Amino acid sequence: MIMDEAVGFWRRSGAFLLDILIINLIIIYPFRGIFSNYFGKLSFARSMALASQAIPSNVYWALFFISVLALLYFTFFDYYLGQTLGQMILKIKSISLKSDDGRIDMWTAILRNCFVMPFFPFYIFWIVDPIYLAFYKERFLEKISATKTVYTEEIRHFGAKRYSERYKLDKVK
Amino acid sequence: MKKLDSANDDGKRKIWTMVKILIVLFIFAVLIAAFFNNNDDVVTGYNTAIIPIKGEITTESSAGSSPLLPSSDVASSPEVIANIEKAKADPNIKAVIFEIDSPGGSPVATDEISQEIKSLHENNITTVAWIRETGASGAYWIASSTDHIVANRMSVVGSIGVIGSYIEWYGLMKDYNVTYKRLVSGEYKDTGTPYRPMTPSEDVMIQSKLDKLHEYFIQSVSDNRHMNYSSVKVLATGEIFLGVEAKDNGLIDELGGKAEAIKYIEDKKDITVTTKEFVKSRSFIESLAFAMNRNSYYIGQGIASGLVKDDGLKITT
Repeated sequence: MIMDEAVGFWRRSGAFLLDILIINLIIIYPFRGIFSNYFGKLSFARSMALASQAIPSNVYWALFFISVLALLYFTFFDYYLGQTLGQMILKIKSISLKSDDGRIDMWTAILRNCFVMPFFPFYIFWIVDPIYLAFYKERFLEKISATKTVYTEEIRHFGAKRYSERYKLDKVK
Repeated sequence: MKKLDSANDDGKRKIWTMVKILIVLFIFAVLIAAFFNNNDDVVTGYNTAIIPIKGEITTESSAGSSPLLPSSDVASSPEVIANIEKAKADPNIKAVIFEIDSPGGSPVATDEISQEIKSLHENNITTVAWIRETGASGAYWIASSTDHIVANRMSVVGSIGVIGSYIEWYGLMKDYNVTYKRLVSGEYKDTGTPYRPMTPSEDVMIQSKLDKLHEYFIQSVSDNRHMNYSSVKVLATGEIFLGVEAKDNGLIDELGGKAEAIKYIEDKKDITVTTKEFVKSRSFIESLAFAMNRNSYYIGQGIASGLVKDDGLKITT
């Protein structure tokens, strides 16, 4: 199915949720002992929300390392495969608009995914990105990193060059 | 056929890369988590809580009226009590240091905090008040509830008294031909309104309340500090004392700061003190609001509160 349009909000959110589930299993699970010591029954999401606040430095550092590993998860998958596991399942893909083959370089992948760090100023994107996505069908970090999320099928049919050319044309305008 | 093979190879390569990434991340996660788990003291190495009591003591929450507005700098009794309860419930905690920098505030909030501090003694938790700039009035009442008071020689301590002063506007209103229409049922219902002068009987009534509160204050300090009622009463003129004077007249136990507070605990409990600050955690929204410019909010708040603040009678310790 060739759609030639931006990937919708819900499909992207679904892919993100799947990624969070995988991160939960692979990265967060080994840390469960530390968090149960301190946060007790608090959810991990709440722990992350409190990350920059008054919590012991060790828990703060554990959260820091988790967020770094989560950043590496998104970065490695974007860099090596052009899509995360969640994106694979939902048949979408991330491409760079700056290269003709769509490959995302390491720094661009980091920039595009830096929102996972639960520290100032990165958590601003927790609000900015979804709002921007709802209005412009791309995340704000995608805009500034010149990347795009597209349907895998489209890339297979049309190639990434079409997007980079369009991007270059838009830039000239 | 060749194309199919290449697609299969591509698929295999993709899966292999995927597995490698996941394995690498999992190994890193396990190693880092193991480091934190093996360093138990990193996780639960504290044995002394530091609970700050800073700003005006109040029964209200320190959060702004909206979660989007920054928190105000007050010592909110529900929050301080929540932190004390958290310390009480924590099996690691052997002592609590109250870091005090407050001019006092609501008598009710003060008493609530004071009673909660006393409950720590039942749990065999040593308490120390560490007065920084100011530990006056209600803040001193709170400090007196602890086992030991440490203050800097220049700290402001004492001010054992109760205040209910306020500005009466009726003279100004009269100049502008503004009158106060009194509509009450009950003689003392609008006592303390700034829009008319107090009657002599109201004066007597309010003064008697202030005196009663003052008595409570003196009695509490006397009981808490194991001092004679009469010797506290001599000091309870509302006068502030420098730390060095407060040491001489027995209102504090020791001159110094955090180091002296820690040393007292170490000597008494025979432990090496490792502290952890117990403060109210901000919500994510509050954190975001905090990151924004507070000044513009406070300028606005200053103007607005100046316009709408009711300067009627308010009793504080």
